[in-house]
Amino acid sequence: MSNNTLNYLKTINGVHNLNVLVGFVAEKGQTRDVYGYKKGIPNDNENLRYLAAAENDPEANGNDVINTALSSGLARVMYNYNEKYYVNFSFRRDGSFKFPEDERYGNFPALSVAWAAHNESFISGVSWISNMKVRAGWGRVGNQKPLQPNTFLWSLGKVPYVLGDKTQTLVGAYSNQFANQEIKWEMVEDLSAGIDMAFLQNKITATLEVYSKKTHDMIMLKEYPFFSGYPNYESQVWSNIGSIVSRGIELELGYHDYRGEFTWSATGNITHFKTRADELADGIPYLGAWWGDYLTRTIEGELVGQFWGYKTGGLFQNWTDVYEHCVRDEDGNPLDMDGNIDGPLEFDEDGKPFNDRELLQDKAVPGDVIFLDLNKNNEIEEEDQTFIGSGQPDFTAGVNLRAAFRGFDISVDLYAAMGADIFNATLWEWEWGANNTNTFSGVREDAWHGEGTSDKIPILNLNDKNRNYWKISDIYIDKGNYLKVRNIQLGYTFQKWKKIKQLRIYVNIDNASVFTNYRGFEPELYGSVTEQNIDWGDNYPNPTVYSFGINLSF
Amino acid sequence: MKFKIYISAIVAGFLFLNSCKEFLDEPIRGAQEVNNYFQNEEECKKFLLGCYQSILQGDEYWYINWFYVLTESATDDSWLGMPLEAEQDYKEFSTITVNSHNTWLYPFWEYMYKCIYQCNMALAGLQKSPVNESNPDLIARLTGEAKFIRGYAYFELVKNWESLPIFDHVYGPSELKEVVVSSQQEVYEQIIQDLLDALEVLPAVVDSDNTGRITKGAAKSYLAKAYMYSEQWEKAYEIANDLIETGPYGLESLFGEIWNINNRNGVESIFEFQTNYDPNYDTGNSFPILTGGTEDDGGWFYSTPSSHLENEFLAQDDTIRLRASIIKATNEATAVTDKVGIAPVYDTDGTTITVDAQRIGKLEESKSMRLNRKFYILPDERNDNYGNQQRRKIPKNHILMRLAEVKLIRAEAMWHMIHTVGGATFTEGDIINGDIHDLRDRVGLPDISSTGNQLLLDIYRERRMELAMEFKRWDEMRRTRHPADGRTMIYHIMGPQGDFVLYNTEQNTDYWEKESPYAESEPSDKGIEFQAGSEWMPIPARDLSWLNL
Repeated sequence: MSNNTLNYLKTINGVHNLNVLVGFVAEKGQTRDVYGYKKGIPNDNENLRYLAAAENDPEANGNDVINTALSSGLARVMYNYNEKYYVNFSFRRDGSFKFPEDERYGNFPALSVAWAAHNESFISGVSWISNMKVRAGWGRVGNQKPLQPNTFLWSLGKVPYVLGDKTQTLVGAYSNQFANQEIKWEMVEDLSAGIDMAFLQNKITATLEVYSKKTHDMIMLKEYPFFSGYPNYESQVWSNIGSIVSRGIELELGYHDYRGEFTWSATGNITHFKTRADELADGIPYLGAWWGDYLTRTIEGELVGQFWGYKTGGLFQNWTDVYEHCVRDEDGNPLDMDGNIDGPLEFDEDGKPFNDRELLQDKAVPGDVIFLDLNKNNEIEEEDQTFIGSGQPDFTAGVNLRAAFRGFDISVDLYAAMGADIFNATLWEWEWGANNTNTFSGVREDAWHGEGTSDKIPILNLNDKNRNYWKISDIYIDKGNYLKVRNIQLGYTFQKWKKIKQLRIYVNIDNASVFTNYRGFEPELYGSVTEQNIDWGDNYPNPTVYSFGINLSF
Repeated sequence: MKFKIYISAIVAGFLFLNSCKEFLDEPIRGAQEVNNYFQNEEECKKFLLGCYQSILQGDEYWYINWFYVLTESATDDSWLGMPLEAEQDYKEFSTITVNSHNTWLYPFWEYMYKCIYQCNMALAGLQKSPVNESNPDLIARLTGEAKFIRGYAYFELVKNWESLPIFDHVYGPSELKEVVVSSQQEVYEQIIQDLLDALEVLPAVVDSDNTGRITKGAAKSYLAKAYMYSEQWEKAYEIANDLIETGPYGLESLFGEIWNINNRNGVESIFEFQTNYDPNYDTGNSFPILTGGTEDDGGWFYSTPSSHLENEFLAQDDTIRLRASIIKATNEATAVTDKVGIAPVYDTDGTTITVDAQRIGKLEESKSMRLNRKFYILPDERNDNYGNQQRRKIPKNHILMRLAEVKLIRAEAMWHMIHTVGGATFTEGDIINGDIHDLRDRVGLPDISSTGNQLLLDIYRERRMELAMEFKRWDEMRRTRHPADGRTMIYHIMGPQGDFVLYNTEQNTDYWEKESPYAESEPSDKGIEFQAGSEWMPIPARDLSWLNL
């Protein structure tokens, strides 16, 4: 790795402050690995845990080598006039081995300006304004980190086959990767403006910031249909899938009272931002989170990663409900299997109608989910699917409280996220009767078991012919609002004593509590922007950790 | 002064970056690339090996083979097997109610299209190869092989799907956006064209170093089959006739020999998937395990034969083909809950090896206590590593096309030329005394004497007995038409009024399937849910999403 920079600082006439930096960085790397495999170690003895002791299926699969190479040129100019007006300009030209020759380099400029208004004479005169800074910035940054190497090369793999009477294994070649020769730099373009203010000797602080962050040519794995024949794993190819835009506004307020024995502060922030898809490659929607069906769908102009599925209308409470959910003519009359208007329902001794009506869900029984025929074409099929929820919260907020009194100190950190939906995939395991697993405790009582007993949890049935849980629908969507007490800390600082300059003992509680109505383990979920807020059931709730500690300094 | 030096050093640095393209050039190490492949004969042949390998098996049993096993269980020849462990998605196959999200539906579709992709890559590479100058005959022949394999893959797809997309070259992402599906007729045209192209350049025979390579005969046989499937009877007759007369194939004299693990590339075999046992590579065939005996025997016993099939053999006194197709546990047992007796397994020469019936089926898990004999490997024919863990290494070749099937194609084509097309120069007697006689005589059966519609049904029956348990019944059940009403035979076999369903619900007296305590472990009314249209597989959900975008 070679890292070279040259820095030049100059102050002109005492007011013009200039800082210039230029440089270039070049880096080459190599990883090698050698692989050997064998099966059949005679017993568990520690001394036998080596390849030499194993007996069967030897494979010396050898050597993988991956070389990496990156290079960048950079320049930065920072200028301020009398510490009142600031202008920063920077420029980077980055090159990476991960891109084909004509896309190898990207140019990334950035410009930011700031005005330290509190240094202006007309503001420094105002006694109750202690800080005021207005800033704005625009910048571009290149990203190639998620991309795997060699994705634009038509690599070959080895495959064995047998030919000839001697039945020898011959080793052939096959294309093991569809090469994307158009892959290029992902570029994140950030535009932001903000104002920081403080009043009354910094007793009150406030920050307001608005921003728009556009990710151009986002590098992600794009899944192609199986009939493409692409040999990549799951027919996924690293591609620039399009651009997404995140727009948001953040407000931070704080009150700090540091006079006297009892000092305290409270700061809170609230953020609202939404991420939308701006343009997608070839205009094709991006489908994500495969689970027998794609759970999320991103289309141009809409929020990224929204959940996609059928809309439901509650549960069938009785056979009449099942039979009323049927094919109808333009006047709303129910039709029978021959297309004629069907008469009123006639019931047999079990309460089931024996009309030969053409039902929309002919395998349904009372207690099953009602799927809606949104496009009113008398069929329930793919065209009736639509957006059923979004994992993006409406706002997130945090509050930090601090207080101190005569050596005691306490801090509390809170965090909340409101307005997000969660796709609760765990319901398939815990609420579905046709699965070979147990249900959550209480589900048996809450699930539909007779007319009027539930409008939410369908009947527990060994055979789910209506495909209640096989079909992706809004029965899987839960509200994901939560408030968390992230951290509470209580401490005490002793007086100075002999050589001990400071002794503080404290008790700390991490993840103290969560307030939420969400049914699953944990409402705070992670995931990529196109697949966020899906609870696969592997997100264990963060454990509450109680700890105590001592800080000592001499 | 110093300042100027620094500036020029930095500028030089920028220039260095921009000009030193090689610094950022990192080719793949340890592997070659397609665009500089196909440079010599060896490389051209190696790439074709990849295409051959993608025809069957795959790295995992569920890529390709599993689809054949599951669709076999949807026929009147087989039950699903393993009812306690069978997943919902397996049952969708055996009850012919497959939906587009079925987990075991998409791998077959996926891997046939991957095979097509490799063939398209091969064709593009061969076309640009410099070997075109030095050895054009080799390029022509390899091109023929790639086209045959591509045609084969489309054939497997079109037999199962009503509409599917056709790719005659590798499509890039923007082309994929515009993909539309083609009709079955268009797909058959594509297949037939590929096979005709291949026919021109393939050799009639191959030498012993190349056993297993695709020959003219293989192309002819698949052409005959494609013509038959698209109901072009004259052409089917012509090419089947040409193949049978010019050979060089003949019927195996002992029927039981055909599928013996030690009989590789026999006289009757026209196109056979090659295997061996190799400790380092997965070059075997997993079918014997998938359809094999119980866990104690190293198998999974799925797709087990039915008494309905057995009765077909018994009605004709076809002992030889019965013993070569079905192993059955005898029910001369003592306590039914404990011992289930023995199962005689017949070897080619008629000798019997007696196997503990527990290896043939677990009572509570096997509907019929019968096994597929053609894929069953006798204990002394197994190598030391036989078993579930080694299922990818079993050296049993898979015969994809044999002469008997071509003879049946010719017989059926002849019938149609007499009755449907008209102007035939031969008679029904020629069918009875020709192909049908050859097949029946081989197994010691007398000639049939039917005529008209009954003759066609008898040809269908002959096909059923001849090719039983070879994973052909699913296709044939949906292709053959009943001469009386023109509907495909599946409509007569399955559904609430189907022969198979009525047999099992009303007439079946087989001990294992009806009377043993676990007889209903797999419901007897298998096939009752069959509805018009379900004989075609749905396009897998994921690809359907793409087509609907």
